[in-house]
Amino acid sequence: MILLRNRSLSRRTLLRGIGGATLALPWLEIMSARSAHAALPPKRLLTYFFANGVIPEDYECQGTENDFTLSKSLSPLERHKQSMIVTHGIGMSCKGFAHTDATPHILTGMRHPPDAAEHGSFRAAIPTLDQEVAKAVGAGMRYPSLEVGVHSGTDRLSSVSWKSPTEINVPRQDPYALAAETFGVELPAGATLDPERQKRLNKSVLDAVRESSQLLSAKLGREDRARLDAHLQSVNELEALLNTTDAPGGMGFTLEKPNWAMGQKINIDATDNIPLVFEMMMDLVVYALATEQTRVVTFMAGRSFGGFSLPWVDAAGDWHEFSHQAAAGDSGSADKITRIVTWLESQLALLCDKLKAVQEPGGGTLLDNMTVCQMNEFGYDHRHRNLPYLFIGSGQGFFKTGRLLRFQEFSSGPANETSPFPGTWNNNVLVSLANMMGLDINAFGDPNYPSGPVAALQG
Amino acid sequence: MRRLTRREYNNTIEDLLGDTSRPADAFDPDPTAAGFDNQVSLLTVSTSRARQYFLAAERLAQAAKLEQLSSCLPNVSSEQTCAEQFAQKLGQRAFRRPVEDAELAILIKVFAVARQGGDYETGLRQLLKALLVMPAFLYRLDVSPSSSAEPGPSRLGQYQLANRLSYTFLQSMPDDELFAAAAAQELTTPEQIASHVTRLTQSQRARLMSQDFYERWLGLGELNKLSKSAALFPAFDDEIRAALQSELQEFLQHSLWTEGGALASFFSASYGFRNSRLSSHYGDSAASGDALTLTMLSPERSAGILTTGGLMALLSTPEHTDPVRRGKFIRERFLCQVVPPPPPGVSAAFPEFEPGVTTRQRFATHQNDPVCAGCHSVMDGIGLGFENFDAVGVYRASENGSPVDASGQLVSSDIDGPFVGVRALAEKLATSQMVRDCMLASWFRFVAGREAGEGDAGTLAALRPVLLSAAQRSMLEALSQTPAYLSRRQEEAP
Repeated sequence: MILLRNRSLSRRTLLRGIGGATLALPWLEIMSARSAHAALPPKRLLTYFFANGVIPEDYECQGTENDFTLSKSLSPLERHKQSMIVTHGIGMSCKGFAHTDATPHILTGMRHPPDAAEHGSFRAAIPTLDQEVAKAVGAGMRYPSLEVGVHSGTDRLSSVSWKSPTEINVPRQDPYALAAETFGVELPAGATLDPERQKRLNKSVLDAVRESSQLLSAKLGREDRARLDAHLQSVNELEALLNTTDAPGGMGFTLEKPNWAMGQKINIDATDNIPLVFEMMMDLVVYALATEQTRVVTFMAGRSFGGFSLPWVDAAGDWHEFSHQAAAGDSGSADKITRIVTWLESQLALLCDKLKAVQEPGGGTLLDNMTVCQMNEFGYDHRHRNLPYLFIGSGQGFFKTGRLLRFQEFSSGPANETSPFPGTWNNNVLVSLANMMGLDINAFGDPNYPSGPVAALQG
Repeated sequence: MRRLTRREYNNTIEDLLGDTSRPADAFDPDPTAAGFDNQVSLLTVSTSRARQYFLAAERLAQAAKLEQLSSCLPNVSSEQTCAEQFAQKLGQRAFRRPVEDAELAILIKVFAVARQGGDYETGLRQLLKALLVMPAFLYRLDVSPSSSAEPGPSRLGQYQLANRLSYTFLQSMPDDELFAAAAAQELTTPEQIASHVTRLTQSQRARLMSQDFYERWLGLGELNKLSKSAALFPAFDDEIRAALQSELQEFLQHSLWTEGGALASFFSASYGFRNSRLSSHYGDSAASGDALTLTMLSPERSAGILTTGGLMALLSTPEHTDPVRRGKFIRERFLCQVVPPPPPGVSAAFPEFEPGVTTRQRFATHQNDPVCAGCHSVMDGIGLGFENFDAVGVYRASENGSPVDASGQLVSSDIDGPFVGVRALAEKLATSQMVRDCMLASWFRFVAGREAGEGDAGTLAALRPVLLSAAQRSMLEALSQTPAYLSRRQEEAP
């Protein structure tokens, strides 16, 4: 058993009774070693994705920058209004085949290779922004980046996060499996360990992996050798992780597990249980962020095309189909989409409640020290314009929250390859998020689009 | 070099250690392409995955029953001797080929490090842990340290072929017979290989393998999530959903392994599987008890897989039949064609349901509006032929008071033309070369772990007539005799 130093966390239960009527909120206080230092807590980034766009009439807010009312769709976020920036009019620099183009584009801002549109081939143009951030701030973390999802599937539309152009980060979707890692393995009563011996044992096993790979490597073709090299790189990263006794993600957590992690397992595939699974995933994400197991999270609420049925808001059936019907003028379907969106915003509000309930040593709540960015593949009717970008949490004051921002919309086509398209695009959002996380970049993705951050977000 | 999928890992652990805890179920999901989770290029090892392997190996090594894995007694022989025996015996099974000297030395070093400051048993467990995280265990490899240095298309060694056969048919490590045959150089002649293939295809694991294939090829895993409108189908509960799933699996198993998997029976069989619950669901038979039994059905109301209630229900909305989804399914899964989604701005409204109107009438716009008809003629024309089967797969002669018109039209295929009802469609599909090629491409992708490329034309050409004259089962047997299957693959240029 790999047992690292116990984390100094309170022993309070994380969540009282999922599925019970009371999903009580303030549950976690961290009394980490960090509190010894006066330094600011680290910043974190979470992207919250859902598909199929919104209904503009129900989604768009009225008012001025500093004096506005939340729309019907955004009403569940009322209690977080002062922590958020609502935007209208940001476009996606993406032209073409609706879902398959959009999904790998959201976090790259660059069109994927044209040959990759069909046949289920897995390609993004470049590694996604969250991965660039993870490289900068996630080294040595148990999860340099953590991707979770609910009913997201495992194919190339299951995630907006790509480690490399060919490696999609399929989201973790089994909360029980993730809990076993994230909440940690409990120490057997009275167990002791000698960290030096543990380190020696780990090294000898991993040396065996490296040495035996060496024997094989020379016999492999180029592709296979690259595959084995990538494997060994992961093994080296694992070793670094195991050998940092202060490693976030050490196995010695002694926190009590939340009731859902201890009790009878629910069927996580069942439609009726989706709201419960959402909340379980939120608990895991908040815990992983609070305990420095990760600083970069992607939360896939479904997948491109939607991915699940929502009978509990009277929207049973094919979410994706509803969005087409709504665009064709069917008001019943438009209402269904709005009920779906409103429910997803209520989940986002719940996630923010949980983030806000974590008081961080060094100041502020977890939500104050991060930004949650809502993303969608579309605005409305499978179009890559006026996307419902939403920013919650100021990222330690980096963004000026409590505002409504409107951007001038431009059509995303036809392409003019010689000069950048005017307007504000997801590329600019990506630069802003990277800057918030401390990355000094001024452009990301397709150079045909304007560089720079979305300056207005900073006030 | 193919990393084990989660399923292959679980099976291999069970066969290697007798441990049925299915540790890989908790691993990160394997990415899928076209539904398949065993595609070589996607099976990478992230840091997270490496950690999961490491922790699983730790747990498995701690839980292993050492007394069953090693008979050597260190108080009789030297510890070193016993550890070497353990490494060789278990290593041969974990690597699925003999452990070579350099590898043995590596493993013994792990034992020695752990023995220092720990006991003999700790040393063995640590050695076992190392075995379970080494690439020779985690990957299906066509080389060993002593292989010739030049990678290229050479015939597979005996153990490598034993692995290829076992992972193709069992999705697990070679069984004792395959190990024995490899050791005795008895996987050489076509007859020797064929006799093992015959043996392997009779195992329960082969049934699970084909079930995995069909579920992934046809997307049948979605049946787990199937739910229907409680108002319209109050009797549709979890029990009937599970029964429809079992029926479909039973049909596919029977069609492939008992009947040989001919397209004629796959698409047109006029039998099905029923128990009492299914009999009352369909109202077409009088089966009793819970066990599924083969039941002859009316040929007018049945056509192989096409009329199984599970498939029909899957290709419907919670309330109604969906000719578009049904047609699209036939196009994509059986004809291997890609149907583009509706372009932005074009109305893709699902026609409203009105009392007294038939589904065909509701979908008439798709045919009458030239903007829609361009794409929908390739889907609706097929899907409307299924109108005799409602949203839970039960036969109906009328809809909303009007007799069902199940006439359909196939275009853009090698079986173009009008047809009436599912049986007529099934008979067309069973004779289509496009359908056979699609089925062949799907099996190839599943077995090879990648899409067929230009270099595979010869292999596919050799199998095409087998699928035509015989059936899927013979095709699989023939596949295991093709030169490409028996050789190490030469890497294609990037």
